[in-house]
Amino acid sequence: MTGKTDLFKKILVIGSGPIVIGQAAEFDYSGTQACKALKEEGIKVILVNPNPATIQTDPDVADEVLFEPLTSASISKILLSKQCDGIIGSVSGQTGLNIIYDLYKESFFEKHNIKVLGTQPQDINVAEDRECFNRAMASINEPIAPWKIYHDLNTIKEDFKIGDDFPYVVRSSFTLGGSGSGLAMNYNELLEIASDAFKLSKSGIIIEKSLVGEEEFEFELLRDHKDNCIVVCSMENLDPMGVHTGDSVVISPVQTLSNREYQILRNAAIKIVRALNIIGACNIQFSWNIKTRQYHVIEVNPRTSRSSALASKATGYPIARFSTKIALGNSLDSILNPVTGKSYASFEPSMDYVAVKIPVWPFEKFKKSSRRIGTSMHSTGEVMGLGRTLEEAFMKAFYSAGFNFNIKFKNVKKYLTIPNDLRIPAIFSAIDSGIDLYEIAKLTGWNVFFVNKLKNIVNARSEVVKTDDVSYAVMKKAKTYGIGDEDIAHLTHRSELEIRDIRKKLGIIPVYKAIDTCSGEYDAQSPYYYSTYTGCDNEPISMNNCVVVIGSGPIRIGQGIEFDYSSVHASEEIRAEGYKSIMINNNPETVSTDFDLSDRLYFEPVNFEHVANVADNERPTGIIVQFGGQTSINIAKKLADYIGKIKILGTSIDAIEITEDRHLFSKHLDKYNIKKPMSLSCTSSKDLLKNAEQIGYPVLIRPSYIIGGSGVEIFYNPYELEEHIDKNIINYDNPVLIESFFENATELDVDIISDGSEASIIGILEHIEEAGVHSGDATMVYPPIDVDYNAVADLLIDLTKSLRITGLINYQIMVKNRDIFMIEANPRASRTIPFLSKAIGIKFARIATALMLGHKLKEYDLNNIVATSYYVKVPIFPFKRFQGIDYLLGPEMKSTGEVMGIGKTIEEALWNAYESSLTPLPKSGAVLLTLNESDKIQYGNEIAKMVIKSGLELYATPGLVKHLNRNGINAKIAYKIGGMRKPTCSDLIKNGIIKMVINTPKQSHQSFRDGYVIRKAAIDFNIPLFTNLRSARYAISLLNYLNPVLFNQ
Amino acid sequence: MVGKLVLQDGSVYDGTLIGAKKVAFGELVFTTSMTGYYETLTDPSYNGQIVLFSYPLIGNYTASDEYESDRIRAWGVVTSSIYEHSDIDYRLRKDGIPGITGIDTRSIVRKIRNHGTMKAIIGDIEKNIALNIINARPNPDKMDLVNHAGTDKVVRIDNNKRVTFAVIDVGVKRGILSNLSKYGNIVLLPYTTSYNELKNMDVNAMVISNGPGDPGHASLENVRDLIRRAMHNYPLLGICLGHQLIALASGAEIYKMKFGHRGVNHCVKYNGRIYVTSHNHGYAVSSNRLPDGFTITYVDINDGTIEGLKHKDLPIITTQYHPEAAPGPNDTSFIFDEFHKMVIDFDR
Repeated sequence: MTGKTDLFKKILVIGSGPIVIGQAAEFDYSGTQACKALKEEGIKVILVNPNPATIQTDPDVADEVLFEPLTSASISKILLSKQCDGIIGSVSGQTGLNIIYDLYKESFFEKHNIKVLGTQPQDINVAEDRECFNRAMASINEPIAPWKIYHDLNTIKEDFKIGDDFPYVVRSSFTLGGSGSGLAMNYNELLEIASDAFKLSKSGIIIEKSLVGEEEFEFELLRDHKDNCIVVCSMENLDPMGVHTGDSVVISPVQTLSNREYQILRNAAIKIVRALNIIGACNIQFSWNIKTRQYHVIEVNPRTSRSSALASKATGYPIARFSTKIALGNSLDSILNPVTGKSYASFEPSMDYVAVKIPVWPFEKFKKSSRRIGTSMHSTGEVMGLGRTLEEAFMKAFYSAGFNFNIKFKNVKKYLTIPNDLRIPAIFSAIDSGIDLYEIAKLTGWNVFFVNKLKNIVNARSEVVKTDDVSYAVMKKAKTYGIGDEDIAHLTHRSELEIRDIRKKLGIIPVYKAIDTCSGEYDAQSPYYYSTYTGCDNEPISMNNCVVVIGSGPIRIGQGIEFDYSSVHASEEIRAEGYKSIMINNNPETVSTDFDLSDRLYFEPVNFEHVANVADNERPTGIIVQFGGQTSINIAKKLADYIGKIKILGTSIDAIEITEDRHLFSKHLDKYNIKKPMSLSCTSSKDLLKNAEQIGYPVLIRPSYIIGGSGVEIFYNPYELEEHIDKNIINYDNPVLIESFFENATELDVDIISDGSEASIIGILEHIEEAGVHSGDATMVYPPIDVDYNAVADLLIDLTKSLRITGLINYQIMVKNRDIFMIEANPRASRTIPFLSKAIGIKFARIATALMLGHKLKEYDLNNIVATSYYVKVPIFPFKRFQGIDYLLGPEMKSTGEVMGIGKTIEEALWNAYESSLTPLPKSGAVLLTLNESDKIQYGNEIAKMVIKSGLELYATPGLVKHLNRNGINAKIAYKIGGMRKPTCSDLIKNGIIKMVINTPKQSHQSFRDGYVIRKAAIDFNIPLFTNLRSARYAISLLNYLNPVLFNQ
Repeated sequence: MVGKLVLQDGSVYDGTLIGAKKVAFGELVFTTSMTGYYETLTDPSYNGQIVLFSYPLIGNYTASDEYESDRIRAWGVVTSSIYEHSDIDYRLRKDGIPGITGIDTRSIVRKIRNHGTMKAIIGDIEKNIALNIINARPNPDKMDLVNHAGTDKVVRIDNNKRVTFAVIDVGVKRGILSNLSKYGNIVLLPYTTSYNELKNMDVNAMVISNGPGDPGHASLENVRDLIRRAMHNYPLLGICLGHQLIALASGAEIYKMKFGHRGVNHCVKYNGRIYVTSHNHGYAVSSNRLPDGFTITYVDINDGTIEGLKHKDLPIITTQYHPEAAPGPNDTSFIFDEFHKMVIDFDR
């Protein structure tokens, strides 16, 4: 390859960092591609990424992987110590760009002769700094919305008044996923959003006339050093301006623009990319006024992005990989297109199908939050549907995102008018109820073209309803418009299998088409397929000896990138064992849907219908469900019954059933004499209250078959439970389990690997927080610190053997006063597998796959795993994005990501983990202590003394100060927020005096107002917040960690 | 109404008939452009051909002002689907052109890719009857397709400019005319125009337009003759068929491609740079016996097809691709600027 690649010997790649809303799995995908592209060129790769749940941090992706913080201080240190001669920051989202720009401002690169690959920092700044950007656009006559920059609230108050022509958009520069920006519908909102934005923005905020309601289009481009420039993909947002593109339904290619209009935007995009001197990937967003047919430039992202990941998967064109090659100095015409193996990277992909992206939102986890979506992103993940009709692609995405037609809307127009996560089912409902399509288009801001498409779906469904026996015509139409078998079954009061049978007898079976970047013009090598019910030509010829891996679908809270990690390993191992691997998944962001990874990728909904279709088409040797998280476990039984001769590899369906059904599992545990918290199943609300009394408060309620503990809550007294029953509709279709809740118990996560007869412990993780905090939200340590785990290990090994687990199983165990209780068992790869794989240095998901393919445990040396260091996992929460929720930990999982810290001591590991988290522990300043009554009496003195000893200042609430004074401890008073006396807690946080908050709430799942306000202030100002006493005590003990004299005493 | 698409190789696709209620016969070709259906269907270069759209959603937008000529020129159209509220069906009926929808267009693209372009029939017709017609009739590109593709009388377009281009209309697209109009006045001439007639007109340069069919067809001998006489006295610009005619007139070899280039995403390379261009050609100039004086400028990056020529001494430039796009990217519209400068220099 011709280029300047010989200029570089060692390049640092800034990694994805923890998964947060707005910066998620897409950067594992693009970062992994970047690393691979660099290694192909013979360059040594140093990867910095504290997120263990990524493929990127696997030992073979980079030459060296460092679990270090993604800050400019940390990156500059590593650049020097590792003697890197180049750095890539364009594959890690906003974080990477910010670090590059910060170091550039310090002249770091110049001083140390380190090259920034790709778009240069001064050019990044023009794209990212809103003021520079607006001026740059004006200088090339590209239209932008009227705007002005502000540095303080007072000037805003002078410039605007009540009754102005709202809305206006508030934007802060250099932020990710639209945080710190918002749409102000009136004067008061403007002041509110602006003051929030000032907290985040480094260089002032911009207020611009809103283009809300206009249509939005996106272009993904690549440009090289020779000024060659191509548009890889065009995308149309269904939701209009005002909804963040990450929260918008997006369709590719652009549908509603004429050629002339499309070329106007394409020309503008290329002009902008050239003017900004972009090298590599770039995303440009335009607004489009449907009446005037005029556009405005909205923004430019000079890097790979969520959109570029989507574009890569939608077209089959690997943007991040080519962007990296370009950054090294290669030109577009010198890079071969791996999809065709014949053509070059320099062409614009042509699609002969439609790709629809639908976001997945976590509002179910944040019930108190408003469901409204807007200019700040709220979705955690996304799914993509591919089809030869728009309806087909849309419905695949619709089902994949977990939507159905069961929601009944009381005031459907409200859901159409105000953007929210239920808008898609609301549109269907509105069409169904006969509301005029143009009115729906007007209320939603969707182009009526798309409303018409959804109308086709509604019509096809209503034809299904009207039919007694499902005729060919009705069935054909339903399938052409993407209506699922399960949906048809529901509408015709039949079972899904009956419908499947009828459909197949009618000869309506899907064919698979390749995604080849060129609409079939060239003979493509890419093994990347999707199904359609409209075609006659099935492209993939079935392979011998293939094994299917079911992927984990969209990134949700509770089912995150960890599962994608394990799926990727499964596919790798299947190939290493000499089988062909087939991946089925619907998530465009992830590594698992990289078509390079498997022998074949079927980009399909991860549901029974589509997995069974692939099985029919490929006749695989086996199917692996263990790595797809709870979603694929949930279809395991149905699949096993259907596919008959094809084996579900790994743990038997019977064993899965036992562990998943709480009643069966209880009985099984009884047989092996394993204790569990007392539990009773309830089929009515009356049952719930009665059984709660019998078990004794506090009680914990959890429904069966759960992802991330959905709907699990703890109740401390009957009043709370009654209130919960009053306010919620509890579904008793499956019995609801109520169990006793132990206070102050220690929880363990135990992962075990087994070949069906022998079993071995992978690792035991101890939760720092007491039992009751969801294991996904707990701070965890490996190896355990307090618990003697031999007894636990023996017990669980026996249990695992009794279940004949083949592959992986995860147990959640509670230890109280030396008693061991079983909380739950998950017969699949768990959230902690990647963490343990990274800590121990063994790819357990690969071994588990080998065991499923017939290998024996004794072939692997797993009995003498000795941890050489401590490894700590700290969760990362999305609290900031959700208004009106409380920031407390409980049995419902709320975190989106995690970071790992490594250390020779537990303290060092914890400290390092917090350093990599988004809220490192303070090195100076003050700590605010506010404790509930019982914590105050029990721990107040101890914690206060620890803070004082650390050398940090101590503030406490008046009552606590009085208590401490009585015990001879000095503390400054922080007054109640909203009261007359100053300084208040929030003043102190706002003014940067308080750098850390410890706030333990009342022992109840209800928050109390004062505490809530303090917690909100901590979250708003990005300072560490501890609401759990155990983790707080650990954190305080670390405050003087940096001071060796104090710390080693 | 249900109907059939029958291919020369005997394969039959069932679908729903649209447009004019009659049987369509033509050479089946595919385009991979995802937009620009109005431009495509009205492009006179498609005269004699049935156009198949690989993109499955056709008719999403309505833009009848994006016509490239006065009417639909393709002899038939094949799509996977057509938007329910599209006016394409109406426009096909109005211009007497049949079509078929509900077809697995990708499978036909793959077939054509492997076997080359084929003759085909669309209609409510028995397979055997269709095949008989297909076998009995020559490929339309053996016909005089240009006869009805271009103008049959002289048309003057005065743009109040100093320069005037003579455009030999062998099926010109409006896109070429509107690009030329930025630089000069236009005299649109029938393909039967003789050199003497040209000489008597006050024109500064000659443009040979795009058009349908085989550049070697006997009916085009007059144009080739015109080129041979004019090339020493006028700056020449040839686009698509025009490019082929200039090459052929100068002694180059032309060959028919397996399935041609039709799309808006092909990159051509020139001077180390690449340009995304719009293509619509089933023939190409062979590099085997390039006439003296001509050098290759643009080549297709993937298959090396000659996509542009220029003359070392004479003011002649040609492009196989379409710098006027329509549909497609405008990345190479500088060709018109380049030609204009050439004309000015020549006059000096």
